[in-house]
Amino acid sequence: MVMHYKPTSQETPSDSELKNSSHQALFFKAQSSDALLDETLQEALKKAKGGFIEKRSQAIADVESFDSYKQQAQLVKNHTLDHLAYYLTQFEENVVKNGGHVHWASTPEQLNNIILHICERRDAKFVTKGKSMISEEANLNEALEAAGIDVTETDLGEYIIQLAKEPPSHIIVPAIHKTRQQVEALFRETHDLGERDLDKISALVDEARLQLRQKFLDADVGITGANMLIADTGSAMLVTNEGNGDLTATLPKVHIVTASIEKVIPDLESASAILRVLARSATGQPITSYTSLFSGPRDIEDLDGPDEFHVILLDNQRSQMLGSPFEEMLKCIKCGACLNHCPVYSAVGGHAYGWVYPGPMGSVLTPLMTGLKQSSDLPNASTFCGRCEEVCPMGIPLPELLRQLRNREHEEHLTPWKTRFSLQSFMWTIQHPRLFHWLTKMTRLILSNSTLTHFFEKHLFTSWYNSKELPKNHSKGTFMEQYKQNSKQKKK
Amino acid sequence: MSINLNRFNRVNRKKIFNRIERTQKAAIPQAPKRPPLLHPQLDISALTDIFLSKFSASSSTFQSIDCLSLVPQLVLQYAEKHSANKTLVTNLHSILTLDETPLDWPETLSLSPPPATGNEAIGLSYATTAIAETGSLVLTSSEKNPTTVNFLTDHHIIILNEQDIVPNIESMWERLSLSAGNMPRAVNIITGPSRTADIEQTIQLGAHGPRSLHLLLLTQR
Ligand code: SF4
Repeated sequence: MVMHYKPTSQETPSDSELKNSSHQALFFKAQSSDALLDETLQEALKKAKGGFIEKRSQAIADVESFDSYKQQAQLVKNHTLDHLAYYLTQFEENVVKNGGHVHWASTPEQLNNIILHICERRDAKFVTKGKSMISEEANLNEALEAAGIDVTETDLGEYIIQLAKEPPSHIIVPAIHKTRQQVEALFRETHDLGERDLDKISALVDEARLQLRQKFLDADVGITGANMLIADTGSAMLVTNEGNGDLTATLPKVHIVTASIEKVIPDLESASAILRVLARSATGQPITSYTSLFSGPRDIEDLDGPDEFHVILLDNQRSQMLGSPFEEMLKCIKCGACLNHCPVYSAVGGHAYGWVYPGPMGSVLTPLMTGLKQSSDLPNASTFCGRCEEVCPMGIPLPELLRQLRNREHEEHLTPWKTRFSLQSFMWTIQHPRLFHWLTKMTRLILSNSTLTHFFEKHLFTSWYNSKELPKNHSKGTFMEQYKQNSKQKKK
Repeated sequence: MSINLNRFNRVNRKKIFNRIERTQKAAIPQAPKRPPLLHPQLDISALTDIFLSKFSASSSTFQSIDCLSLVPQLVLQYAEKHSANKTLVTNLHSILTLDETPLDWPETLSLSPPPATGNEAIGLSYATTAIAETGSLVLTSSEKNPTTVNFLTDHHIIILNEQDIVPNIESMWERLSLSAGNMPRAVNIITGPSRTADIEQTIQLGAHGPRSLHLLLLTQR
């Protein structure tokens, strides 16, 4: 059946649906300045720096042709996006065949409502969660807490930031911005520890294991994310290292999987292609400790496992990206490589980006999901160095997508008047060559005079001067002057 | 919260599909053809060696055995070396799927029937298949192999028949031959013990699941 469809304003999410209440992406500039001055954060970022980059490049060197792995993974995603409706339908049918339920949420609020509904029906008091970026998009923990449900994040990094009441600062390592001393302080504040020694990282991990073990056993409902949804078998695939996702999916009476619609792929053979690039790009491992496939509730003979299995599929603007210039972004497998290799992310950390997705992928996703107006600094939080695109296993042209967002900003008059004014003056000037040449001449003269540059640095460009100096120019003339001079000499 | 979930899903599903189908060239009723994918090729004659070297690289240990009757003794030895608590949770008392002979368990091991509760130190399971490419053991959930044993114990011991090692991830799926409606609830691809690097990117074993993973490889003499 071929459907012809024109969107009506009712069917596209409204502005109020788009907005996320705790949205701070608007303040990237101020937040990044704070981040640069935060010594503890800088110390944590310094420790993190390099580790991922080295491990990734080693993992890639260890295989015969990572490029061919990337190609296979991209083939899968391109094909799936071309037939997304088909594969989502197939996935739904097969989840039902396996005895599970599929739910559909256009907006994050709807996702929360479905989860609250399930929790209420099963009279759930305690919920455990595996790491799920989709639930971060929806701010699910807040919604659960407001309903009086005790919710515990079980991924160690997520647990730490839940104690600290902070959002994640990295999509793979959510607490990358915390030093071990900060983690120790958090545990001392919230756990009953007495004088126990928590100096070593192993002691901190053991303490979290102890605390969370009981939570796992007490939970009524377990909520996990999914790295892939397999249409052909109706399964959710989850990739972890800690095993927390598996405990969350196995021990409670109810397992709920939260995933976005573009996570669906045709079959297990396709999953293999993506697995090959995912862990290598993320943590530099050939494969993570646990890769699990969940397909429905327990069978009659099973001795463990939940008796209810739900998958909630979230759209949240993704269907709008499909067929738009930003469709490529839907190929993202959330590996985090672009964050790890980004000079801006490495300098300011994840929180400065103000929403759940930081770094280059976040600078593209946040404006698309929460509105460009709410996050107008983000497309500009890039030096366009191009490393993100280079390391992205899915070949997503991140700089190009950022550039398009900048264009859109300009068209929608979202750029600050100072920027617009400067750009327009520049455009006007270069259209007047005489004026332009005269101005470059003057600039050169000023830059070659140290008293003058000093004056400018001290009195005109003071904030610039805080971190850098004006370029000194000791050349014999402007480019055009020297060019003319040279051509004259040659003629002679 | 009282929402009519069925109605809610119907309405939302329609909205989402309308938005998707607006952009797709056509909503094809029959299955689209996925482009063929390349699989990495491995030296079939060296599968066991490749598997064991990758498996060891994941901070796991192994012993080769040529007879299942050795299992109880080796489990006991492992327990004595690694754990004060000698409780063993397993549903493989007789390992019927592998062998018909019931095993003779030493009294020092206290056997506990599954599912695991978190109080047992040692878990014993068997792998349905294993992947040489990644050094992974693949366990499918069943009455014999309850999933809790894989994640709630401190030390996990897994038996694998050497014949069940396959070259790559794709051949593993083929071997399991899974289809919707006939899926084991969980398939766990396990590569090493539980680990985390969430605090200062320092790798620690035993985050939530087993602190150690030990393989008993049943070889064909
Ligand atoms: S954009 Fe690419 S590199 Fe960044 S998280 Fe997504 S897949 Fe990984």
